[in-house]
Amino acid sequence: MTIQRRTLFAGFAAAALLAAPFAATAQELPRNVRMVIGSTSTGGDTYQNSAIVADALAEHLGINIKVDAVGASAAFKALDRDSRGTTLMVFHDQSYLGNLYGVTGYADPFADYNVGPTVAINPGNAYLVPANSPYNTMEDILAAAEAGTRVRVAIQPGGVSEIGFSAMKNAAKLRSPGSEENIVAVNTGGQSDKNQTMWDGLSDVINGSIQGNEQFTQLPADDPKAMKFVWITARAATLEQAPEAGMGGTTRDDMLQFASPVTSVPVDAEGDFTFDKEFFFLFNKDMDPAIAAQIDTALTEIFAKGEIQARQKESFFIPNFLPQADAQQHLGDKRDTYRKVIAEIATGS
Amino acid sequence: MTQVTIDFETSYLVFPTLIACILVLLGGAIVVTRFARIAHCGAYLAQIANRMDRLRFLGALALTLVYFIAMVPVGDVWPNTGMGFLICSIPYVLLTGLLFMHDRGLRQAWPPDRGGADCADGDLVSLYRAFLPYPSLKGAPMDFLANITPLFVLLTVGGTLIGIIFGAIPGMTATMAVAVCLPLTYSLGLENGLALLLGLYVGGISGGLVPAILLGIPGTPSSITTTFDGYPMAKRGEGEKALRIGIVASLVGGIVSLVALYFFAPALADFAIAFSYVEKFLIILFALTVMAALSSDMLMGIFSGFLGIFVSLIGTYSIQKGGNGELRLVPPGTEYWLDSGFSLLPVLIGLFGLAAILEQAEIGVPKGQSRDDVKIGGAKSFSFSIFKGQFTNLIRSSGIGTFVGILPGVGGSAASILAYSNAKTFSSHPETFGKGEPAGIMASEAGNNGLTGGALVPLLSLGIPGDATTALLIGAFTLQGIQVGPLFIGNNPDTWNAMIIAMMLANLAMFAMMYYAIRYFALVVTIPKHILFPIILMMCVIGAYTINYGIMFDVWTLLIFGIFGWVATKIGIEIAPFIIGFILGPSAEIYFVKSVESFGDLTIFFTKSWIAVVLWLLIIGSLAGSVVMARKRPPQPAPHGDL
Repeated sequence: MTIQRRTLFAGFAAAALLAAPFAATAQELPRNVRMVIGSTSTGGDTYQNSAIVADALAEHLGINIKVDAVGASAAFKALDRDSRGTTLMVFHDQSYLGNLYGVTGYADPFADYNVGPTVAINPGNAYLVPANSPYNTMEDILAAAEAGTRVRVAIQPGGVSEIGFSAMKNAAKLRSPGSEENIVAVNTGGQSDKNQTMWDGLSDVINGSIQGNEQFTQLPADDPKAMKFVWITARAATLEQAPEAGMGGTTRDDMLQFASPVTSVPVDAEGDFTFDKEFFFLFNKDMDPAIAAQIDTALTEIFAKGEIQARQKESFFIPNFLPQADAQQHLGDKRDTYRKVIAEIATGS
Repeated sequence: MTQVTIDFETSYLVFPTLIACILVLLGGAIVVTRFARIAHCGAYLAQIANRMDRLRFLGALALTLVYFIAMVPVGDVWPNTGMGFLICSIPYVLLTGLLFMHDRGLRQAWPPDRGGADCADGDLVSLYRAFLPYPSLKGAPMDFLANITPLFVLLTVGGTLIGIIFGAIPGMTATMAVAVCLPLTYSLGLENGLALLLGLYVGGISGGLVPAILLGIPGTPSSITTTFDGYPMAKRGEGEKALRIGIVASLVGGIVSLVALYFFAPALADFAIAFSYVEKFLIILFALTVMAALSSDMLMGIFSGFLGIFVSLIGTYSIQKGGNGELRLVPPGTEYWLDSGFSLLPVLIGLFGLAAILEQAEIGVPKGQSRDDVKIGGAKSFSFSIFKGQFTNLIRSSGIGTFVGILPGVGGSAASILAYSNAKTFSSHPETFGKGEPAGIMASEAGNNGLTGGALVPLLSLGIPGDATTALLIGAFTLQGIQVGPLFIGNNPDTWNAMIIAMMLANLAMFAMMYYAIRYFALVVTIPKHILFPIILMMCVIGAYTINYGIMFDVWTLLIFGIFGWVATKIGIEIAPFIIGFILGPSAEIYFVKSVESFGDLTIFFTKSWIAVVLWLLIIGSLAGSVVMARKRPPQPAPHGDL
């Protein structure tokens, strides 16, 4: 009889212990958190950024965070299923650009999820031409389109890779209505495909990145793989925060020559188009706001220490922590600007 | 006449439509030529149902169904801890084991005592000695060896061992092994981190041959063609011989590709960029011709291959690969699950693992087969003389593997398929392939290990990974803030040399460990089936679930294709061509559609370059060989993974 009571008691105690983590989930992040990301690559910038933030958060809060590179569609689904804060998502501007471009599987992140704090910027989004190209600047490219020359731009459609292309078309339209028709997309896949279209002579300009393409710009001009930058879409204020040495053989000052205001791609009569690829959290719409607040507080403390910034800069990212409320305002404004650019092209062509 | 315009907006329908038309034509031909057999299919199916061991077959299916259904809700109680899997797996393994047993006593449920016959202490000593030739290289005269510390060697060898284990477990792959260990590399530092990852890579690719030969289940997708000849050899008592052939061929493939990487990386990368969409499509087309060669019934085999292509196209026309992101071939209401289509690994282990176990359940899981049916050694022992006359095959297959690795986007699994296809095309006795031909194992294993060095060429010369695993390796560089591109080798000579040494060590360690550990692999086939099968199923579930970092639909894919694989063999659909079509289908689509989209003229496939002409000659040679062979031989059962 005594044994049975003890057994029962042990059973209840075990159940209470096991249930303890769930009782705690109402107010704060649980002990084991899954951070899903919108990319399937563990070598890409989304994974890098997420890994840096996950490490810092896990250490600061004394919890486990595992980064899972499941891709956008699966990540959104995982986030949909879990409002307890056991699943968080980190992604970048693609999350709303995919929606603006109408890509299958992209809901409106501002309506269907809660946009969380931003953590970093990858300032690397760039456009390049072959080293022996007649085009040396964006001015040359826009002038060629105006003069009736067809300029083929290799992009991966439906997001970050396309937004600069849309801006080019918009700038051509502002400069000379109708000339945007001469800027045409060569729709292809990842970076290797974009590079290959250049080497095959199928494109005149390619979308790329400082990190992925810089070494090609350092090759001798007679090397068939050699390239040169014509445009870096990041804001000058963002690039100025990059290490002075820049990356490889391209210094920060060199980079600034390819960015606004030196390289101008107008977005309207008043200013230039710029695009910083920003990484931020996305939360389930019904997740307890206390958990979001806990993440905000933890990140504020982590960024105040300053160690995470050093690690981000090591990987050529620009630290850019904005608490949730500021991030929502900032990203909402940014989305509205790009929506306008995309709409302008759609109505013009 | 030959001018074709493809609109990007509707490009997602071009290839599926083409394949559907071919399937209709082939299906029509099958109906016409086999009308009598089809008319009697009702009686045939009734016969199967009557003969079946219903308890074991339906019981296994029901338990698997309950297992999969329970996993998510149970997992939700302890999120992100793996408890859902663990809690559901234990009763599943126990109940399935009991179901498969004939005498259900406690004594019979326990693994039999092997009395030390298979695993003597002396073997452990010899295994230990295998490590002795690789002590620390510290103090060696060359400068670049300065980075080679005992830790570096330990990580490489340890990584190789873990990789072999991952590769040898059905469902686990080299990619998974690298993914699991990737986060460790930040704290280990670049050289040591790479040593671990490269060891895992080489070990993972190599380990896949063990279950492919002993169980007929490819341990990794790249060892698919090893099953075609390895498993028939094992079934006739030549398992040890087949394993040793595979291991030697793996070493040759690894070393040849390493030599190519070390001496010719930049030149090979320059050659690789001469391959545009057109040449890449022709390479895939050439690899697809092996479908015809592997078919026991040419018409059904080709139909199965095209069916595999068709099924591989289900889901979105991937934006990441250059598509427009539109859904196709997805039945209404299933978009939520099928938007990304079916993943390769769950399909593969479903077709080769679960389907084979279902077949065994259907016939009542016959007793005593585990020890007697698949003999590890015995009848014919291994001798290096088997490689006599195979030098060309080994070098050619290694070269093909290396070259496929160099071409970004063609896909790792294509390496062994192409090497196998070539070996068969150029063999003087192609009719023996698929029935236990040692040259087939050599081609497959030299091909998939050739991939290891090859896939590093574009990574280190162009900053572009050559296969899924090297795509993970790039993470090790980026986590350390190291740029990978055309200047990498020149700018980072120490890292470059460390990588080469790690690859060399990993290949030698792989050879030593696997060659001397063969008798331990034998333990796999001595495990009673009522224990082995549930554990294989559980491993398949782990593999399916983790391949895309935790997608439950991949586990359901395993079940869907397990049942499909079982049904397919009953109705004459051939699994080998089906899976080859499935593996190569997405690449075939993207390169075909992009070729036409870019050039707008079908003649481009013949006129693009001299490389295209050479590839056409190979395609015609392979097809002609298959037709001649098919005319010579009587129909035979298709090679697949029946246990």
